[in-house]
Amino acid sequence: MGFRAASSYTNTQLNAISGGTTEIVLFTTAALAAAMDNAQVVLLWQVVITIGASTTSVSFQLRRGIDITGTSISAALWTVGVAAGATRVISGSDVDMPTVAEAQYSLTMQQNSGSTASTFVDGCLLSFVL
Amino acid sequence: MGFRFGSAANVTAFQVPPANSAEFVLCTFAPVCLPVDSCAVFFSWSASITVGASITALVFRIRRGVDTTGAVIGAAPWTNAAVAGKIVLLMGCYFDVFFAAHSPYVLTMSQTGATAASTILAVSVAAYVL
Repeated sequence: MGFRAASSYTNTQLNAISGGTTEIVLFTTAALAAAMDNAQVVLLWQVVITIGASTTSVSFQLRRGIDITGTSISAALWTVGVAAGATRVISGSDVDMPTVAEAQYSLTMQQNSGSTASTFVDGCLLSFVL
Repeated sequence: MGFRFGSAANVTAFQVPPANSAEFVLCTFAPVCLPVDSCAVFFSWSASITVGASITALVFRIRRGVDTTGAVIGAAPWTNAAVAGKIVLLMGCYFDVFFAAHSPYVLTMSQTGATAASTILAVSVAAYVL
């Protein structure tokens, strides 16, 4: 008998991008039921944004849980230099081994400068167990 | 007995970019056989491109079907600001929930402001059901 490995996906933007340097949650996946405690969860994300005035870089993090207090699964912020007013396609991936029965993840974003908020165009966060 | 879910991958460019801003099919996904009507198809895509003259942005879409008339998945086209003459490496991911037994998709591109064609250095797409 076969079985399906768990997966989750969303393109629902949860919060508007902040017009300062405040970290916000863009997406949160539904909880994944891992097949085994040591199963690896693969995370893929894409964001299309129009960069706000005076913003020179933006940073992303993948966090366990549903808010900006969750453990970041990355070794460091994923930062990319940007030009104000430009629309950019930014994407990434990571792998986590949560060792919990129900793993939920959030993609967060912050501007590192600029008082004008960037504009969200489209994006998504995918997670799946292999 | 276990079983595998459908997947498709392609690294061959389908059309040469035109010397204008018309949308064209950059790469095709073979039809993916869906195990159930409501399952999600996950996509990954990447492209390395030398940006043609006068181009200010490259716009990507994933569409259902086999040409530039199919329904667009996602909330809006994926635009990335570009500089003529530069080489860019762009990538992303998305998903679709498509109530059909076999679902072909295409990755399309258009070149905002183009007076000369961009050069596709490499492209890849993958679609998979989990």
